[in-house]
Amino acid sequence: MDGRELHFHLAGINNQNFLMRDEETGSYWQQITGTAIAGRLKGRKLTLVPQDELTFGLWKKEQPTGTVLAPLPRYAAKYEKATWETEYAKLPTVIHGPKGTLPDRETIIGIVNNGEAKAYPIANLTAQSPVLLDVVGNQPVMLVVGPDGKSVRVFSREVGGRTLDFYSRGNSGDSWTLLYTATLGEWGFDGCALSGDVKGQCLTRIDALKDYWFDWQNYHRHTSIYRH
Amino acid sequence: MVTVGQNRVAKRLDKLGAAFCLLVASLAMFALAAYPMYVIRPFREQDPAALQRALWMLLHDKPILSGLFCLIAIPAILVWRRSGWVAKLILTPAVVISLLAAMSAWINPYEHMFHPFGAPQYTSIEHASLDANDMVIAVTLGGESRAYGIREMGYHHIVNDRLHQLPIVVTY
Repeated sequence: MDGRELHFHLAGINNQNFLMRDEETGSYWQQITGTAIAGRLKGRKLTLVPQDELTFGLWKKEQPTGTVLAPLPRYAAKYEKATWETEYAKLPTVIHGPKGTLPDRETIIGIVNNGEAKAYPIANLTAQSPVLLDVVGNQPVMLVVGPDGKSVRVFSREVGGRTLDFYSRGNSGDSWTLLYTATLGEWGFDGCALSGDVKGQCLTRIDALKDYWFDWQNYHRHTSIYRH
Repeated sequence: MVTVGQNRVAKRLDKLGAAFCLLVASLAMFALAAYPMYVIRPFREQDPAALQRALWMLLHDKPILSGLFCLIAIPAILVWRRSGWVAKLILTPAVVISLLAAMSAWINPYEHMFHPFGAPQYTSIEHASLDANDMVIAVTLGGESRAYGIREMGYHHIVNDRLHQLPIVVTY
């Protein structure tokens, strides 16, 4: 921020989304928005860097030379269990989405594009629509459930002024690919063409946030929900 | 005899009013110091206006609470010598409570609940103790990619790191 490196630590909680504080200015930041809400840097926003939430198996296939954060052995006992997702899904929330929307702890993929916010329940994506074509903020987008059946990525479907349509060939281990409807060309989960005259061309990633519904709707009051 | 007895009672109760006022002031100060902790406690809804007040208090609590401590401790010392033992019995907790409230400005328990990660260390993919099915947060910058296991991030919540020369903070 302004050429200065900030270091953050946890400093509190705001409706079950944590507050962090930077050691350099003592400002308080909201985790989900990356925005300072109190202190000298109030109103400033951190830049979101390209990031992904996916399974380790899929990541290491894509990034064989990547590095992994080493856990601290001292805290091994405090780390979450493998079943943490189902355990957390049972915890109560202190704020609630409007009646008739979604369960508070429903996990969603949230997208904000050109001022329009939309939430996609992950359970519906994985069960019904591993490739979902939609339009958010006047931009044609695609949500794709990866070969691991858990990771979700969002892409713009616009390439060179054209809107592309894709469908999934189905998931059979290593042969997972997307098919471009018009040419039946193959595309990978990284959004890049694997074959045809567009080979090597990639779709633009769109920032998406995996979040609980109660939290997402709290920060995106006008969000809509995709109904399958 | 009656007069002496009355005198003794009066002496015992010397400065009782002043001591009582200082005790009430110290309790009010304690409530002020505890207010931010009360507002941002977990498992409770945070009202945006109350949160702003609480954070304002946290950002300014050191001068405010130190000043209030002086405003309570100095008069307490000044009246101490002229106080009866009942008043002294009240002045003591007043000073102790205001001292504790002032000291709390230097401690935010929420900043110590989860141990910060400190300087991160890395392993290679082959040595990572993650299962293929474990979720990770992956950050990729300029061809460099790093994975942060969700199960570790779920405890530490924050890792300050650098990737491809860029200082980043990974949060979960």
